[in-house]
Amino acid sequence: MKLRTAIALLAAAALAPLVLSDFTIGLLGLWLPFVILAISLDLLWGENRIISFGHGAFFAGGGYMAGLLLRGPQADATGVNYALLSNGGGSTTFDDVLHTLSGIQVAGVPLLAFVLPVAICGLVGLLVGGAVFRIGSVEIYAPLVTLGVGVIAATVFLKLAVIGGSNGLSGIPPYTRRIAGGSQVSIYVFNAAWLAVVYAAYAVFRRSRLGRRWRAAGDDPIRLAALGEDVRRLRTLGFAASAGLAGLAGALYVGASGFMSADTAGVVFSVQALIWLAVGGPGALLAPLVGVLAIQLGQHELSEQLQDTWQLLLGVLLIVVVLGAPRGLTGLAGSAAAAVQRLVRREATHPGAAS
Amino acid sequence: MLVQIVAQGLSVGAVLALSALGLTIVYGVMGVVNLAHGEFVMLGAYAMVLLEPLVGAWPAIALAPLVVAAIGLLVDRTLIRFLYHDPVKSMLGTFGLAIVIRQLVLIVEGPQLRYVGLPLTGAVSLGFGQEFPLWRVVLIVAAVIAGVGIAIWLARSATGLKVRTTTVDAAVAQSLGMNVPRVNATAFAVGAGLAGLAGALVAPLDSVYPDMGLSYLVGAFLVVILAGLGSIRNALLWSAGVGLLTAAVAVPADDVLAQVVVWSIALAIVALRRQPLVASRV
Repeated sequence: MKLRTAIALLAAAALAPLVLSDFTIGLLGLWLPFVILAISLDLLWGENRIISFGHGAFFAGGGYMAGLLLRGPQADATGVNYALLSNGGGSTTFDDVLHTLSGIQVAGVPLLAFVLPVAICGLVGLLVGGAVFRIGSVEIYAPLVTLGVGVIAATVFLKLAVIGGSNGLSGIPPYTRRIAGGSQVSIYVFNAAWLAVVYAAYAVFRRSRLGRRWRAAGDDPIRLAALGEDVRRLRTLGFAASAGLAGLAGALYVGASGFMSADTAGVVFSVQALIWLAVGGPGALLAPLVGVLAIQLGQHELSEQLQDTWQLLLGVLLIVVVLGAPRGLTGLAGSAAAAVQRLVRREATHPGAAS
Repeated sequence: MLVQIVAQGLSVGAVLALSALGLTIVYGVMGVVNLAHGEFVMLGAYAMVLLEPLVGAWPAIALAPLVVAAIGLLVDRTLIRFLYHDPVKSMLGTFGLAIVIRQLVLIVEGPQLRYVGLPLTGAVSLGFGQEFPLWRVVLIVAAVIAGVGIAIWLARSATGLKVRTTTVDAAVAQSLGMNVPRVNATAFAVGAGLAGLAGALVAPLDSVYPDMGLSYLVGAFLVVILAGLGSIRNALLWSAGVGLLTAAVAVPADDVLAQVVVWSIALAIVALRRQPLVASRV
């Protein structure tokens, strides 16, 4: 991305709270973590041709961890702590641990709410990646294994009582409750700042030597291995990094939504994330942002009226993008710009020839 | 309990085998990983639900695979043929297809659970005072017949020969004058038909609803990950293995634990395998 584009985007992001309504800002605050999730998928898909059908599991896992830490040991609505009431030894120890962990704070923000999701999702990613990349053709087996991981995670989350089971984990306060009272704008600014950091890091990574090695592993793993690279290790580490990033996205998301449910770990949400990226155009730096905003806006505007038909449209859209525009909206915009440029150049050299 | 685990395991394995066979043939022949395969199982179950009151249970079971195979043929000609030999593209495209099929069924038939009566009630005695539903026996027999039938069809028939040739090298098959698009379409229809048969057979055991396909897809993929895409014999063996393991946990404990244990063991097997698994062909 050119520096100019970056500055323009930052300026637009900074001006948004002045122009847009509180409601719209609230929606944006909710969607920005999705962009981080899409970046974590682009790291795999756009840069290395690995598709994950299980990133919702990391997103949800990160969200649950951060949610528990943000909420702290919970008294319920009536002010009675169920865990203490039931006298179950297990759950009180759980509360004690939670109390200690959420106590580590900087400016009222529990620090571990970021650290733990990234670390634990990254670790699970390391295990899953370690298994996946041992199998032959990665492009086939990675999606299949991650699909299984997603389904398992959704089933387990649904049964775990400490994270609310089938009711989901609710009543999670925002990160900014102590700094700025947790207003919609403060949540938006908080998530936008995180997104800016992640985006900048991603842009730097793509240009770095490591980024080039990573892309080379996707372009031609055999040749890279012949050049002395341990491709399997590289891919395993890359998958772990991507999983950790998805965990961070989930952690930021619960700060905005106040809620996390087991559905989020399931395949349907993971595929929705892939659709963002497919529509944005995998491999393009701006694709995660463009894809998330386009699809979420469409969903917000249309899903109420269309109901079941909206999902149908999403399916059709996925097919159309895969068949007709594999480089997504950013790719289409790029070729449109190139076409205009050609036209302008021809007009300049041979006036009137273009018509 | 051991007898019950074996009986239950084989019947779980039978369903897995029917759905995994279709996946593995379609991948072997045209290099398409079909993520809409679970939806074909679902369509088979709905075909059973809708046809059973009209024509009776047994004719419905015979018709359901044909109906789903016809749908498969239509889908192959309109969508799948643009996805041949590009696994990543095929996965995304067929997942789009899966969403479309699911939502269409949801819109037409509604979200409520549907049920079909058991065509065969009664049970067989397993000894030790254990009983096993007769329908599950039918399931196992049907899977064995289908598996052996497909193997014989591939090994002996003229079409089977063409399918095998196309699997080895589509370009050579084409240059030898074989009608490769027709072979592909046939293979896809057969795969869809097998999934449809699986759906028709499980419909009386389970509730039928638009989202039911996903769990069958995941099960079939588990088998395929272990067996390697494209190998029929391995798919049958691993189906039985996964079924038995699932039952070994599910019978004494519960289904969720069984799923977690089975997937963990599967990942461990994959991770510890000395030889990287290269997709062997049909």
